[in-house]
Amino acid sequence: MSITPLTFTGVSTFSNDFQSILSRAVQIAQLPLKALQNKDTDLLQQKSLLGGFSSAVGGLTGTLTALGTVAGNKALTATSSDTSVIQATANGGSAAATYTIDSVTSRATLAAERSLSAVADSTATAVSATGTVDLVVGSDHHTITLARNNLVGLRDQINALGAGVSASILTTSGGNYLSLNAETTGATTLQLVDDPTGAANNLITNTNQGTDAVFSLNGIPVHQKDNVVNSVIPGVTFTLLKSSATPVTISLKSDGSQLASALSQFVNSYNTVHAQLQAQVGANAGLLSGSHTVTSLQNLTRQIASYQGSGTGSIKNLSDVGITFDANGKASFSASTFNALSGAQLANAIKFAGTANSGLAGYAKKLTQYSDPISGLIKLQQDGIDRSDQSIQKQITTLTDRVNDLQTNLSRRLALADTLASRLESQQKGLTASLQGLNVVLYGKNTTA
Amino acid sequence: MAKTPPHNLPSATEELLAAASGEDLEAVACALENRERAIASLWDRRNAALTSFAGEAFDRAEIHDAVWAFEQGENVLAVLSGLKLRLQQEYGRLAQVQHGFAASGFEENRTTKLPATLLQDLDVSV
Repeated sequence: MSITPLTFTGVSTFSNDFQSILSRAVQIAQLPLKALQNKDTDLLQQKSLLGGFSSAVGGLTGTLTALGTVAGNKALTATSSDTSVIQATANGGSAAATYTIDSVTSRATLAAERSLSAVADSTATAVSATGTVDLVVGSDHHTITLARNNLVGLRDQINALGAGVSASILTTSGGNYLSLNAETTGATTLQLVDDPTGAANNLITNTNQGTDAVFSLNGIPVHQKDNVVNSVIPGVTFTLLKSSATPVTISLKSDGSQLASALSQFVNSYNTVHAQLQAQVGANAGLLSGSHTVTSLQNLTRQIASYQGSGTGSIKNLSDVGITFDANGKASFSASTFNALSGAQLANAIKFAGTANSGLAGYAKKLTQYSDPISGLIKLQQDGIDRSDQSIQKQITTLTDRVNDLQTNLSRRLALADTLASRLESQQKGLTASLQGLNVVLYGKNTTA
Repeated sequence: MAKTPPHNLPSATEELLAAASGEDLEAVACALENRERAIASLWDRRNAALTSFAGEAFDRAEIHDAVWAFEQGENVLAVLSGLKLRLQQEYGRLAQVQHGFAASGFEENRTTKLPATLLQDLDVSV
């Protein structure tokens, strides 16, 4: 899409003038193209800047959401008095509490059996007298008609059932055994019966049919098939690691360090957004200066920085939780100020931080209106820039074509005019010579000189 | 355009004047061709007159016509010069269009379309 200057080689005394005219015309005709190209460059830079804003605002939205999650859970953490027996994690509790696991009688285990007898050749020795076996898993029966009556064939058909049991072959010096393992823990029935409608011989051992997890919580006996317990204590998930007769205490309580970490991350992401906003204001403002997105984001970040909370309790603003702002509006977090909060103040700080829909963290929802990658204002503005860019590119193409046409037309007409002028000059010289001769003939001297 | 008789330099010159005044460059080319033949004829007869001891008759009025043709040829060169000046004025007008475009507010509003007349104005006829 470039303009190719034409060079005109004239022959008349006017040719230099024509060339300068042609060059000037091309320069002039390129003016709007240059303006359009500059415009397009600006647009693409704007889009790039908006991309930076989208990322920064998305980051701030994320840290505020995380803050809301921590505060919404009252910054609760779960601890176990004996982590070798029980490991506990908080997952959405709403209040501090303490629970006692009086004892862990057993952990949940997988049912695992093997064939009673070995076969010498896993691909040749028959494993069933009739070619039909019945796999029993709990209360489910799966009748298998063996396509290949050998150990490998039996293994493959069991694995193809999707019955919650996996089969494999154990190869020993005494021969090959079939190994069956339940895929989930808990007490069950695991049998493999040959000729189920006739002799009904169980082909596998009956020594490990799996066990349930059995424990006592605050004096209440609990049986379940899994060692991960997440439906007994609200907001706590704990895992049974081994049996124990010694009581284990699980405590759910607020942990200030979680909130401090969330606040610190909030400060970092806030400063990222603030720095980008600052780059778009003042004497050296960037290309997004005056943009609605920038001005409204500035307003929103000011609201966040001056958030007052509900106005009750001992925590009323960000400085009360250790967040302060310097003269340039940059935030910093003082861990020592935060760590000095009392238990009651920490509870108020949690309220101040809020949830996904309230408090300081509630601003995440407003920020999402900007940073949403599909419908956010920043994305919409970028889409608008894309449309403008396409429009400008189209206009540049049209103008380039017009300028090229103009050049071609100019060049052709100027070349013709120059040729004609040259020809006329030549005629005039010839005519002058003729007149000189005739004057000599008629008057004896040249009177045209 | 019909060929001018070889001796009719004034007629060929008048055609040239008419074509030049209409800025019809193709017609100018044709008129120049006719005029060239008339000048060649004049040249032949001038040579004959110069080499004739008997003093070939040469119409004095024809000399005056040739002088007139020469003067009109200079006028046509002036017309071509005038055409050049007019082209410069056309380009000046084009420059104004471009400056007007640059100052039209397009710089401030990035979604503004080009002025509808701009593309037409770019088709400046030269």
